[in-house]
Amino acid sequence: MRRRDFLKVAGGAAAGVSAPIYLRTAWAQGPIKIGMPAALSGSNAQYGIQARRAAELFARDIKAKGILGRPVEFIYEDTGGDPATAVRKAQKLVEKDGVKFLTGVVLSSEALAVSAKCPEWKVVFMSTINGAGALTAKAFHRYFFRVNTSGPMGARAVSLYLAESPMKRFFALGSDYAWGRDSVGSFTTQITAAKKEVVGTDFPPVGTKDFASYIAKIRQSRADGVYLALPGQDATIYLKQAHQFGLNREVKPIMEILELENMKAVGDAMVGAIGSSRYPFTVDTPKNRDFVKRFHDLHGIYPDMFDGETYEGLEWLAQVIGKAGTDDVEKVIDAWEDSSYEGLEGPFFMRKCDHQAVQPGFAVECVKDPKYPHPIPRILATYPGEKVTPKCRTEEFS
Amino acid sequence: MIPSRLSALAALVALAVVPWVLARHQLSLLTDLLIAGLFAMSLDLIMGYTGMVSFGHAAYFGLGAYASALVLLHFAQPVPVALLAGALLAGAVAVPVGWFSTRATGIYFAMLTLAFAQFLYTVAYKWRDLTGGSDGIAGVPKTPLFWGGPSLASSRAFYFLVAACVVLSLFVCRAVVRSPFGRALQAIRENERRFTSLGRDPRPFKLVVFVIAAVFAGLAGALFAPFRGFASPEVMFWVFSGQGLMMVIMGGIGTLVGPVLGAMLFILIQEVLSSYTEHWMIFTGVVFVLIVIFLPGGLVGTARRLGARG
Repeated sequence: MRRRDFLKVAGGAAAGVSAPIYLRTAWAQGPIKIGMPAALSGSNAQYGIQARRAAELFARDIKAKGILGRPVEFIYEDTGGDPATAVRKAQKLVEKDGVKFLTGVVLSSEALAVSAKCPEWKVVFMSTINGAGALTAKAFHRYFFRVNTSGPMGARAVSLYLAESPMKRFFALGSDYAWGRDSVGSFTTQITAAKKEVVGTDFPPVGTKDFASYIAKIRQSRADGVYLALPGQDATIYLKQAHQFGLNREVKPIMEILELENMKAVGDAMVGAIGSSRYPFTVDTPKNRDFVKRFHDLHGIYPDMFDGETYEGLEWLAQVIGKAGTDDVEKVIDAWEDSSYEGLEGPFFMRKCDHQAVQPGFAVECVKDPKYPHPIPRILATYPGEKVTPKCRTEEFS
Repeated sequence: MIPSRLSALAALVALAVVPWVLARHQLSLLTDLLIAGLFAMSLDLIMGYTGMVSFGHAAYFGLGAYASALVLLHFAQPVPVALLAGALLAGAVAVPVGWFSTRATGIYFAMLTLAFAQFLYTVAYKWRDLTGGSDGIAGVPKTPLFWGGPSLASSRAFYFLVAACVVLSLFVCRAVVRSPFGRALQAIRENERRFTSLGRDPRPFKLVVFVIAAVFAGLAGALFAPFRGFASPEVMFWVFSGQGLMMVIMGGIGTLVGPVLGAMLFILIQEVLSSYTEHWMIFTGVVFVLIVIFLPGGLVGTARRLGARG
């Protein structure tokens, strides 16, 4: 017997002797395992790290009582942001470690690939990050759940806000891949429906380092605002350059997602930018205030969007397993469908028809606040779940 | 030294019995390793036997994967049809690419193959209607072996399909390199000028072996798509071509079996280390450097040298 195994057995025995009778059977069943095949290295590592941070806090919070009295174990795997590796890692988690719940997958391409395998593996895929509309539309299946705000939902929140704003003319700039193009498409449809005008669109390649030509084009278009669907690093570079050219004063930056990561990297040059947020940590609810404090105590920073979304997902999952009274996958799915949960930023509802969580949507603005070491998102408008969630199994809004 | 026939037989027996020995996840990992092995082996044909270093071999793997994924998803044909489609498409595209690339040698050949591969990658990335763009094609089914035939859905069944393809490919490649054609390739590798002065034009030889290598890379890709259930532009990216080179060098250039083992080692290192640290690439690099310095000729080359000495 290896030392680690001995410790496990000894620990188990000790727990068995001291624990009350109902807990003894629970411990005997072993931990509830949650697998996280996340991008922890590569250019999207920041999102995988957010998911892991949230899981670390959740693990600490739930340590005392566990789920169904059973301990919770997280198993992290690095996918490097590559879908082939993500599927292999997910398969390892399912077949070797015996996890019944997968979450923390970062890229849409990874999510689509891993999710497609879940009906075969009979495990739950809980998205807390993935924006691709297709996941709850064309690619939907019974084993997939999306707790987070999807890409189309984010675009919807911004469009609703802009519809009421005095701005009339918009330029749309999206990275030249699925997410960027989908976001710009979705934005164009909705902004046109609101009787406003998209005066130009362009699609710089991912990893663009010099936005000068795009900035010139945007300036020439005489738009009031520029809608930006650029991933992390690209957004940072664009905002810095646009600031140097003085463009941000003339044309308001409107971000598909307005995240802390960007605000920290860009700093004051980003103040004034508006956009949607999946989860702004400044939401003023008692539950969120408490969460932000616990998160800050553990990690020494303020939670970004996917810290919050992932924490909510995990807490909801634990609640649903508790309600089902078992971690049996089919029963957990049944218990989750049409169930409610009080999230950090308001009420959540998991609709049965496409497993998209209905939840509040936010339009936020990047502002300076002396209480914080970096700019923060200030909430401009909050929209109820019904207004920002698409029609079932579609990416369209009524 | 153990006669090579005996070790080959032992390997075959091992491949046949492992599905009953290994746990489920180990079997799917092994399937993955074999597919990567087939890819590396196909690269060895041009790199090890003809001395042409290609930086764009992933393109043919990717073409195979996309062709197979589309055939399975849209036409629901049996898996072998998809394999054939993948191998043929890769081979067909390799004809014009090879025709241009083999006009150059050395670093220029490498750059041309890289350029064509990145071009094909961009097509896969941009042609969203067909390829799904950066999201790729997910949900590729494992159809049966033939209509009304045995299902390939179980991991054991699919493993046998992959193992059979790899073993058959290995035999075919061995036959190729041992044929007069293969000898000519090695003559080109050793001294292309002399080959020319003997009155032979090396280019047709290079083109043919380039296409053969692409066909086997396409086959590997065509197996990958139903096995993993998807195809995405990453499988065509130059990084994967580079990894292929590392696999071949680690296993042993010009040995065919070596690259298969090199691919296995490469993925195993990644698989094990990346569970512990996100800096696993550093360790892969260190192992690679150590092998290049201390085990010239790679795993198989070193083993053969030691065998010959002892």
